[in-house]
Amino acid sequence: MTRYYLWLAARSLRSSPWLSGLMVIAIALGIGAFMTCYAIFHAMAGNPIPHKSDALHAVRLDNWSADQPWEEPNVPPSQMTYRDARFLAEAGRARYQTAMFRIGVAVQPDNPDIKPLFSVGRLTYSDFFPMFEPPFLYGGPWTREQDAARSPVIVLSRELNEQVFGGEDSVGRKLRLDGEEYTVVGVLDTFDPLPRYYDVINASAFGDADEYYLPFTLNDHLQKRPMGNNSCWKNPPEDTYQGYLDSECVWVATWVQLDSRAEREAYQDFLDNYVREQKTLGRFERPLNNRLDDVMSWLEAQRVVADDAHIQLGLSFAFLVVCLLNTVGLMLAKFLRRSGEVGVRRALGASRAQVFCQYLAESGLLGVGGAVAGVGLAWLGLAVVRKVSPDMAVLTQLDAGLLLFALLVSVLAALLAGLYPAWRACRVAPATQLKTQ
Amino acid sequence: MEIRPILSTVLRNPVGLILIGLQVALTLAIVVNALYIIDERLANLRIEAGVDEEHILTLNSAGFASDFETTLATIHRDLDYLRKRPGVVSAMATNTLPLTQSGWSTEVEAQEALDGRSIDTAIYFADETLVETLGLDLIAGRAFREAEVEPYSMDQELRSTAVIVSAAAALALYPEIDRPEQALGRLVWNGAENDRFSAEIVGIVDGVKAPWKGLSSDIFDHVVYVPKVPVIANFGIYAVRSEPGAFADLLQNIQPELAELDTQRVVMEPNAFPEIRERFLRGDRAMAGMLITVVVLLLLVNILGIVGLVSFWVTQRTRQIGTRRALGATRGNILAYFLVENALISAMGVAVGIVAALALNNWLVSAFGVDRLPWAFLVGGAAGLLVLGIAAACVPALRAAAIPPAIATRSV
Amino acid sequence: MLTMNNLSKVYRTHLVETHALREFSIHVEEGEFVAVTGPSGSGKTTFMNIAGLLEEHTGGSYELDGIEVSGLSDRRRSAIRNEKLGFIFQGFNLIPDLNLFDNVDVPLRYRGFNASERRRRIESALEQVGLASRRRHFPAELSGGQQQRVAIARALAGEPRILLADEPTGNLDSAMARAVMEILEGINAAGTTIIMVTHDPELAARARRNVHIIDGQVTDLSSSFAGTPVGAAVASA
Repeated sequence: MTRYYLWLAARSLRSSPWLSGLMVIAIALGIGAFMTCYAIFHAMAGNPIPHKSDALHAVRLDNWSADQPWEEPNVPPSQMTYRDARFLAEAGRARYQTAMFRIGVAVQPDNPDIKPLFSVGRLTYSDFFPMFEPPFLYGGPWTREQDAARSPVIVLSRELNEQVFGGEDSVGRKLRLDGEEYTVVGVLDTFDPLPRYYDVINASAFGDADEYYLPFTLNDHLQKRPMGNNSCWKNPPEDTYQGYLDSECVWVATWVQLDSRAEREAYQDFLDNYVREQKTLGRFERPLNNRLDDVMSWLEAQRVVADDAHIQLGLSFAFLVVCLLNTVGLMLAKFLRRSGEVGVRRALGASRAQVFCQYLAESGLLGVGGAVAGVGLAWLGLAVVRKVSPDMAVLTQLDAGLLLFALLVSVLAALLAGLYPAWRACRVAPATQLKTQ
Repeated sequence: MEIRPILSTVLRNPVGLILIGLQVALTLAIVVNALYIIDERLANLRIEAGVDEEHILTLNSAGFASDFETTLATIHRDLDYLRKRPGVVSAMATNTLPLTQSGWSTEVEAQEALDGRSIDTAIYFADETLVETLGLDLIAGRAFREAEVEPYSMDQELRSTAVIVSAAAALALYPEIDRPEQALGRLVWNGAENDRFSAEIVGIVDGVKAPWKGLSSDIFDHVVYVPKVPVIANFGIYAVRSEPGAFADLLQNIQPELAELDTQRVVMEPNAFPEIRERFLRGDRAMAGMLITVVVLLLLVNILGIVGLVSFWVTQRTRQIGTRRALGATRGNILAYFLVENALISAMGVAVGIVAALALNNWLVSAFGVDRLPWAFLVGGAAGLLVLGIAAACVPALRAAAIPPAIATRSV
Repeated sequence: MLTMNNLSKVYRTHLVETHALREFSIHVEEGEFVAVTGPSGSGKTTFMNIAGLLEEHTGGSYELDGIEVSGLSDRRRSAIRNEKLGFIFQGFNLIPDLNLFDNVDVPLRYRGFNASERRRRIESALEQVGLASRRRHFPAELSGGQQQRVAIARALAGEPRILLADEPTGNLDSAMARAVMEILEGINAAGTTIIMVTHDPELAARARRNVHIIDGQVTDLSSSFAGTPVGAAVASA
């Protein structure tokens, strides 16, 4: 019977191409605008590492001024002091942990044909790799032992490896940065979690990846300043680099992997005890306010989804609703114009339910048409966004999941819009229709 | 024309009322709020950075060696080259430029005591060429003197004895003055509680912007220049102003020229200020574009909806209209009937829409810190939508008016 | 075959009650050909609508082919219409978007026959009314008489027990009307009960029994009067 309804629906749509076209356009505009915004929102709000997003935690300690919080209401700083971060990273109390910050260096390739280049990378611990699971093309991460030994080793991004070594397996090769030599131990494949959750503070959450990774412990003699946010609420104890490291300035990110609730609770206790101990040394003037956020709550706390994206999604949804109201009106007009046919069908033995289904099928078919045209419009819309904001290009993908979602929303919306008109159609009194023909 | 019978017809079959009314209401709510946001964003697009935007570029150098002396020497050599280069008006070392979204900020006070007037402000580094290099509007005082300018390393506390401030920062810092010029010679305080130091305001510049917009504070207009050459690790950051007509050439050639000057470093791609501005405004432009699209489509869909439904009613009532015509109604009466009917429905929609618009605005205010909707937008939007609704209804109403009275007597 | 007992039908609005049928009783035997006559507003159409299960009655009982239909669900009533009843209307009421084949197909679809069964029935029904060769044509391409023959084919395809015809020749000229009437008589001869509303005394005369409705009540004119001037006189009154 469904096939019969769909066949009838197709005939009916063809028989009034203008009205049908108008309805498809109305649905398509709504779906197109909504899907354009939804695709961007979806990419922004996506889970970048679904299989362990609840195990990875950003750590925050509240070392801010007693007079005022880092941010109202009582929000601890989103990064940590060097000394605290380093202590936590080396305490080894979680399954994995790392402290990290971004640096910029001048890369000096051995090959004289390749010009020196400025490159942004990350000082971190070897645990970075098992925690965030970047895929390796060649080699692998360095070891915890190499962390401790301050070994001059480096992991390259696929891109930097292509620039400097022409993309070949460079494991074991040497690379000079800022005048110092490092041994390549690994080369990553493309590593583009979306959003780039492990550092949304210092780089755009949807921006470029780090080009290399170096052991954090090398900073003992590199003495790098961070390429990123640095906030201080009081001056360093002395005017030296060491003074900066010992200061209450926050600029280092700390992440830990905690696989169970028990581990998490134990780690929270560990943090609180650490801060209590530091309080006895005159630090941490504020009440205990140490936070462990898993990936999704961290992204939420850092407002990774832009306000504009929320507003756009909301308004485009309202637009979709207006388009649907419009469609309800048009369907009502279309269906009731055929009251005579309903009367005949009822007389010939169609039950109300059957008439209702017939018209609902027509709505559904309109929904499919709206989805196809709407996805086309969304594709166009996203292309325009790409053109206007190249930095948002990664957010403008329409994958199979989104296409299916668009189809689902469109058909559901059309069915919803068709409910009332179809109901009205099936309530048509057959007797009056048959006589007035 | 009597309104009451039309109103009672509308109320007796409320489906049309609900459909069109809801459409109009939602449209009004969205359009008014969207227009307000669009207005704000378009205003943002007209922002002026307070510098000679068309002729400024910025350029970074990163040395292989990161010691202070080498880096400072590189900076001096680069600046010498830049200042002598044909086509360059002036150049200086700085930390950042307006609208770059990255830079330094601090809190400064109007007096030595910490508990008095204070503002958040952006900190820029500059030398004696500041006014020339950025093309600033110096409305009072003087530029820095060469003797005041010192190199600064990141390990030092940032102290200076002279500063140039933006007019907005001066007014914010000293609420008792009427004109920014009156801040000249006053002291700006900074430093920790037991280690306060002050700098004299030697110059006041107008209109220059901070690198970013503060979310809550009005830091965007607050700027303090300190007479320092920043030696930030191995970096040299330069602002260069070109002569008119020489900008494109400079943008294209300056990187290789500097790279050749000193091979023990990397010179990065220069950034033209217009490009910095474009990046700064991208979000606003995208938002405005998106909202304008939605508003236009929304109005279009509304017109289509009203035309569609009123057409349907006209078709449904063809007989009735013919009868009325036969009983003496003029074309004008029929036209007026449909227009009044639509105006009534639209008006009810608009009434609901005003409430919905305020509710939507409330949500935007509380969730996203959007400003409160001015009444003018609401009133203008409501009136505009009413007119649009009636205009849309004209199309089918004219068709209704053209129905001949003979229809009434035709049997089938 | 069809028995109505003390049946009543009241239309209510919030101001008025209209009694369309009052204490309406009628019995139709299997195989009868009944002509229903009466002035306009007498309740003929209401009677046909209730007999055809297009409207529900408000009181009394109605038994159709052994089934008491009072209070049945819409689904049951629709199924009964589909299986036991055939309709022919004054305005033909073919679906303009569908060709003849698909028009005749409509009731068979709701009956749930499979494709080959439907094809067989459609072809034989169209054959019966002499339009098999035009099954791909659309209603607008046919004359009124042809359209009415398609409507008859559509009514017959489901092999109904009763055929309800409401002014089947009202929109036709007399030649076409005669042709349609002949077909109806043929159907009746083959055993299908027919109830026909008509204004036309000549047609009424050709029925085996005449029923006259005035003010929502039945005046049964015995079949012995059929063909006499009495029936004609009443019908034309």
